[in-house]
Amino acid sequence: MNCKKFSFRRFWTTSIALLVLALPGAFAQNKMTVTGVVTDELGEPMIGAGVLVKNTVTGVITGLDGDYSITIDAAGGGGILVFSTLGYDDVEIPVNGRTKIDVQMQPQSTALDEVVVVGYGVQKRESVVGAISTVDASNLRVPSAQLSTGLAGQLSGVVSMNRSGEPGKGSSADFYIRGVSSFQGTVTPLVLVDGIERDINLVDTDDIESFSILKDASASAVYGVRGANGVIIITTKKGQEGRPKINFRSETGITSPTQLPKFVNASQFAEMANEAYFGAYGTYPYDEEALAHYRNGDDPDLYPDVDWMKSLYKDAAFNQRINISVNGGTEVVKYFISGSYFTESSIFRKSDQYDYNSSIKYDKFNFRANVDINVTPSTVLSVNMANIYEIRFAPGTETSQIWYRAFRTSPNAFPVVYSDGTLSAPSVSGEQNPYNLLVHSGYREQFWNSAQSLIGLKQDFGAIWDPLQGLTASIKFSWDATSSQVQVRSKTARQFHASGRDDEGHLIFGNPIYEGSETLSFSSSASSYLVTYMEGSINYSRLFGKHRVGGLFLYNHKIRRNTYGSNSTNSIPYKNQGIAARVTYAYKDRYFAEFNMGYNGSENFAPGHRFGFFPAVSIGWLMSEEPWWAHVKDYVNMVKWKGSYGKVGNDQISGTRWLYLSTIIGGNSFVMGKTGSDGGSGLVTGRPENLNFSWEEETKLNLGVEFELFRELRVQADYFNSHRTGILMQRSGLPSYAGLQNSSKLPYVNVGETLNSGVDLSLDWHKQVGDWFFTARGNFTYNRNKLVNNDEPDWEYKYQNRIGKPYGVGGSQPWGLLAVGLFQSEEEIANSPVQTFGQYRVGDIKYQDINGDGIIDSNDQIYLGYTTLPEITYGFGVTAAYKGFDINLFFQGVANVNFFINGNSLRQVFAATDTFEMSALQQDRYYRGWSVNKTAEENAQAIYPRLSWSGNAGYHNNTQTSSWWQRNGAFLRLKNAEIGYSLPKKLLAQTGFIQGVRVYVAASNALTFSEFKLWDVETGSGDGSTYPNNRVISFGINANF
Amino acid sequence: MKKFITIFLAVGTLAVTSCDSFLNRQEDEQMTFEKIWQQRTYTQQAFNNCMGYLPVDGNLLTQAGSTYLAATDEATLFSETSGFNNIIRGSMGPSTMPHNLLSSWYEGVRDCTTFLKYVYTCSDPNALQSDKDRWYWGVRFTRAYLYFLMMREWGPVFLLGDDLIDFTATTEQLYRPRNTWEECVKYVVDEMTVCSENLPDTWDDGYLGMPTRGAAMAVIARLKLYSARPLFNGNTLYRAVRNPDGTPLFPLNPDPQKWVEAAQANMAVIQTGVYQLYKDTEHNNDPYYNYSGIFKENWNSEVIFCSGGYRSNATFISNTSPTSLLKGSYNGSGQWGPTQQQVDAYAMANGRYPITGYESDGTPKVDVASGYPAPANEFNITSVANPYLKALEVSSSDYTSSSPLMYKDREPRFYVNVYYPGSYFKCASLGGVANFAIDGSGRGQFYPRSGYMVNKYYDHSRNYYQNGSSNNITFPTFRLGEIYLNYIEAVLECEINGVGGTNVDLNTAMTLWKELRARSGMGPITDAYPDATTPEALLELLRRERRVELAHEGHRYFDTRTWMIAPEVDGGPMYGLNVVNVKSETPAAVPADGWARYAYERRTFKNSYYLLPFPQREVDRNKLMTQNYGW
Repeated sequence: MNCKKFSFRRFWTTSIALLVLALPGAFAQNKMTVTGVVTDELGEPMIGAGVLVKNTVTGVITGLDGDYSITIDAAGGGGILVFSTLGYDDVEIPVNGRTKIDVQMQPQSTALDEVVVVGYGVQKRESVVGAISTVDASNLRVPSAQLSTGLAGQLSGVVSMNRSGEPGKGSSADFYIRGVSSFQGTVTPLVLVDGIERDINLVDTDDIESFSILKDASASAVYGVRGANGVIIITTKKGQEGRPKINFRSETGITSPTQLPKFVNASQFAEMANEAYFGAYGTYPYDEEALAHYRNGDDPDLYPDVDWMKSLYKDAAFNQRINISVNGGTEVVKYFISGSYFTESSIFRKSDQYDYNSSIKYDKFNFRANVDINVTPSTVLSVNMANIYEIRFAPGTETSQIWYRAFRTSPNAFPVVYSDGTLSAPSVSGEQNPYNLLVHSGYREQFWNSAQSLIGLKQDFGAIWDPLQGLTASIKFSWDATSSQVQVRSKTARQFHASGRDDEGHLIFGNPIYEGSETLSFSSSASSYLVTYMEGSINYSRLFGKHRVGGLFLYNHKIRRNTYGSNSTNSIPYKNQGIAARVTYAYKDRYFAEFNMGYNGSENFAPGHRFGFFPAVSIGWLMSEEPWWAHVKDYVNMVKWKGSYGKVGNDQISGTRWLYLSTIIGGNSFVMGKTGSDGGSGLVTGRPENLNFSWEEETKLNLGVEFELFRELRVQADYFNSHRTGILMQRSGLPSYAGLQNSSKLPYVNVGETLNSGVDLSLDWHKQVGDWFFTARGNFTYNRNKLVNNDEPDWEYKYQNRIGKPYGVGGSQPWGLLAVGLFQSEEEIANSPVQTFGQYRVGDIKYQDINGDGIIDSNDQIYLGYTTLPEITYGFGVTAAYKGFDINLFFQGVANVNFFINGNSLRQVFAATDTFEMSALQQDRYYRGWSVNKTAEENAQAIYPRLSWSGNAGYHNNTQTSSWWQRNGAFLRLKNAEIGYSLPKKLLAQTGFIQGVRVYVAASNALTFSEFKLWDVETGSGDGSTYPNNRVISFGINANF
Repeated sequence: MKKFITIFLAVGTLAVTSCDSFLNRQEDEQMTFEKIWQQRTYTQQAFNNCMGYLPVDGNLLTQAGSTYLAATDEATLFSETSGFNNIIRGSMGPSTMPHNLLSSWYEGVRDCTTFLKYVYTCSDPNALQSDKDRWYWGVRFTRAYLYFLMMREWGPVFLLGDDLIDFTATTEQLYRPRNTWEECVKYVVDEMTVCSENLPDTWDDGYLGMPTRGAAMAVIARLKLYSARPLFNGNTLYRAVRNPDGTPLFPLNPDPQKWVEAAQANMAVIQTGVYQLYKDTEHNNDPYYNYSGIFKENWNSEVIFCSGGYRSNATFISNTSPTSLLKGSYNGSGQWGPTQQQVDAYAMANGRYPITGYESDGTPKVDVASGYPAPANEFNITSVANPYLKALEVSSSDYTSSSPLMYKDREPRFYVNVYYPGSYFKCASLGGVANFAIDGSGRGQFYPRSGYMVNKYYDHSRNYYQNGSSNNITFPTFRLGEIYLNYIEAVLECEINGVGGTNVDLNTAMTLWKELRARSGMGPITDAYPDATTPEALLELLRRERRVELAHEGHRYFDTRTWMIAPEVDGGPMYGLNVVNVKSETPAAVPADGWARYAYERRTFKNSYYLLPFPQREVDRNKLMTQNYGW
């Protein structure tokens, strides 16, 4: 776990050194000259390190070879030289009359004054008693437009899954802190960028100064009613005093799907269709002649054999990122300015027929300027501005529709396009040719523009009047605007279906299936938000002898306006308001106690019930600072125990506002009158008024330990137990006769209850062996939640109680029948319990009679496996560096996760009964399915049941949700592998302005280990019909000036 | 500093104390409950919502209604997944309900109760007293009618009166036992009685479809009939169905007096004098037009109540259109077919019922006197004229077909109700011959599994799909014909049980019966069966009459249950033509081996199936609730 380090002490010493250098000349009196070379931990010369005579203003900086030459006052042996540079420990060496002093500097170790970003502030690392994970932002760098895709496996406590790799917005990942704890309300964490709630995916990785997640009550209580799902705090880089430093990075990547499903060819399809249809109706739809055509492929117009995956999707696409930033400043003004460009293309094919390229293309421009101005020596005015501009170009048809059709169209339905160039269509309208949807449906342009502005003023009162030392106050105001627009120019192409050939062998098309149009029609839509936020706070921090005290008091409010609302409800401003406070106390910087609280309100509740008080207490003990620890301190450098207990809330009930108010809905309409023209629509109370309800509350306990061994290995481990109560949910316990069972009427009450507990831990290790420098890091998160109360009475069969079982996102729980195999004989059917899902035969799925009543029905459904949200998430990586080379491997994995395969190409095969054209089948079904044409031995190994025809014997029996269709979603993947080479500094120094250059090759998602083989396992449930996750090979260069 | 902090705290506190208003919803003058009662339009909309709980019987084939039509021996629907399959396959259970309208109907009860409580507070001067009265009594009828609907499915339910259940009460606080059958009957009868006293005999055109005095009385009439029948009148199976405190939910012993009440309640409807049997004078009282017109002539004189009002008959039409003839965009999905048993149930033109029963192998027992062929010959192909088609002015070459002897010379209602394959299907210009064998012209994704199709709702003078739309039906939820049958049954039962009273008169009953049959071109039953002199024998014939007259109108499902004959008729093999496995060589022809009695499915009826189970989740939620018998 690399915490982004920031040292005040180092900052000042370096600054002073630089200031001193600005002074011309030096006074000479009994001088001596000391020379030497300063090298880094790898022995590379260190350019620009400061060399200062302690307690003087005499100093120089090292040259291109890391060499320096300083003339000092020889009196007293020459005093002490202080060598310093950012990111490294200062080295103090008494001169003792020597004229040559070489120094090797060591990277900054975990120093006491390293700080960690916490809620509404920063704390010294050693005094942090909350459960907070941080990560070095460079680890979050991924070849994708979305920061969220980089989270998986990087921070202990974060559970994250990438469900899609679609270029641009589509690829953002789901992420949760310590799993999920509510089955009703929102479960995603609060994300704050520079203190303002903002979209995580709009932050450019290169702009991140620090990334923290707040996991326990102590850390998140200040966010009160918004904090229960954990908080992610991102701060962007600030300017640092010094000459302008320019950083440039460029990266180009080749992206390709990690895995796409494979489908049967036409001849296999016909074989399977024959088998399924014969089982239902006793006849074969494809005769020998047709089968021969499919096998020979001699008539691709009337007997086509299309691999839709290959016809629609290319093997590879590309992406590119360029980032350039400037950082510098003076005593008065400091600035950080950064701009980046990211572009990404897709595997979608295009047609050369048009001037436009309908394949997906996504471009993102990021600009950020953070400026701090010291208006007075004790007053800092900060202005942060960011603008993110995104453009997406895509086919006229929604991509989800293209994927759906691609996974539905049979290989023999029609050719991609007829050999004479005529566009092909299914034989009936309503269905679609996916290729035409992709390339002949026009295009759409989407635009997003996000402007983020923040202005802050911070006053240090201590600098004005000494008794107020430690007291600061600040005011922050931010206004963010986002807008997005879609412009669609689409059409349906003129399409035909060939019914045969005339005497001359020409295809007979008849009337077009789609008359189509030759012009693109236009439509557009837009949305837009304005968010204003105001925060005022006072901070206090002071050391009185052995007592260190601190305090925070803060008020904030936020108004989010949907300025282009789509309905009367979401166009009304969303408001939040609250105060937060913190008191910290440390004795001898060894014993810590902290009290945090949030008091804030939500519009969702009735006046008088809107504000909640969320307190948390925590204590910590830095055991290694005890005097009696001294004798082992060389081995166990640091040990800290900590614990916290407190309460946080969650007022976010997805989609519903002002829950306390009753709703008035349309209800039923009534028809009367001689010709039914009288009567009309209805009006009725929907959800009844309830002034009493309130937010969800979560009581969180966290116990943790941190320790460091041999100055090499640092471990942080936490146990947590979160009890969420008062989950606001619609009642389940009301009897029908109350007359409120309809979901639009069912009242909400605070009744749900869950328990979520687990552990998360992280470790960091670094070691130097000769010229080799190694680091390793790893983290592990395990959580299991349990439904404690959802207002449901016991089920008739207690094993069907949802209570007591884990749940996934949105409260989903995997329920279904327990499959025990496929019926292998008529005798087996006769001797087994009766299954009540339509007729069934040999080769169909056999289920377990859980209640033993001889009948398999919904009473035999049980909790199956795990949810789609993994219980275990882990990541680990190693870095090795030798001379200029470095190699970096990072693995990420999940376990205890299941999902159901589903869809027309796998489970509900031959569901489209009217036509054989919309019955695509995945290849796995062909090779591993039960078949009348296979031997008993082969069938005993089958993992798919007998092929059945929609609505006929076996169909409903086999498509029940059951363990038969459940798959293990665990995987381990090589998330990132990177080899880099840094050009020798000596060489670069000759250019005079280049400070460092590193070139690298990286592979992301290079390898995946999973027992699931059909498609990218991380995308999960269904039939794989989404844009797959990408494997990316990137080439990059990073240069500093 | 102190000052500063004080100010800061003061500002902060001030800000926070005023936050309640900061968080207020921006005023957007949304609809509120109070506003409903301030403007006539809104109040009327609230009324519409309540009335909208009345089932739309013009859509009887969908969802719940399909159970009444297909989960009994009169018909079949092709649908692997529809809920009624759970009943006929014997897989119904408290957790696998074919349909559960309990919660939706109680939702209606709640909305109605709320409406009744507030309707007279409507402060809009434009809302006249007469408006409020009309709204009030319409909704009050609806609430009682919902109870009636629940009672025929579940038996005794929970009577709430004017209570609005407190939704904040815990699950335990809401434990409640069921009311008894007698209490439920009394409640509905009392409610309907007071409704009948306040509702008019008829409505102006704009209000047609609103309940009338007759409608309220007809509900009482049918409910009292059901209540007198064996299922609810001392059924020994139900003796042990009691509330936790021991109260029996069903009457322990039969009470013949209930037949008297039933007879009187039905006679009361007749005596309103508002309704007449439908007769088509334009077609000179032609029996075919007389009978089929009940479902085609909207708002005809026989309709007492049409639940759901004037509605599209699209579902009736599409489900009784052969897929082959009305394919593609015409969208026929003819899947609703009478069973062979139902086909057998029609009398011959001479009034005698040809089939008196079945051998164990399904061979019919034939009444020779009826003129029906011997079982071995019933499928002999002969020239069969379809008089209904003739009446519809189909050319003679089309209304005559080579068809089995079985279909020759049957009573008029047979031809109106049954489409038999091989016969011409008239559908304006799209007519043709359909059969339902595999690869035959009638077999599409949907087909009637029995090989017959229900015919009565199809208006053969129209081609709905070519015209682009279906037309409308005022489905006779209650019609005078049914009331006649109810009355005759009740009177015969009184005779059998030796009870009587005002308006319980056998002669009147026999006269009404005669009128009913005459309407469909049939002589009095006693002409065909001169030896049927005992009330028992007449009751048997009356039940056959009822089956034929009310075929496919949603009665048979409840009749077989309340008569408790369901185990014999609703269980066991269902017969039809052999269309399931037979392949037709030429499209229009019915293959020879298709003409055979073929058991296309075997159904299950268990004693527990007389009433639906309460959903298991209800039983789980309400520990004082007694589940129905056998569940």
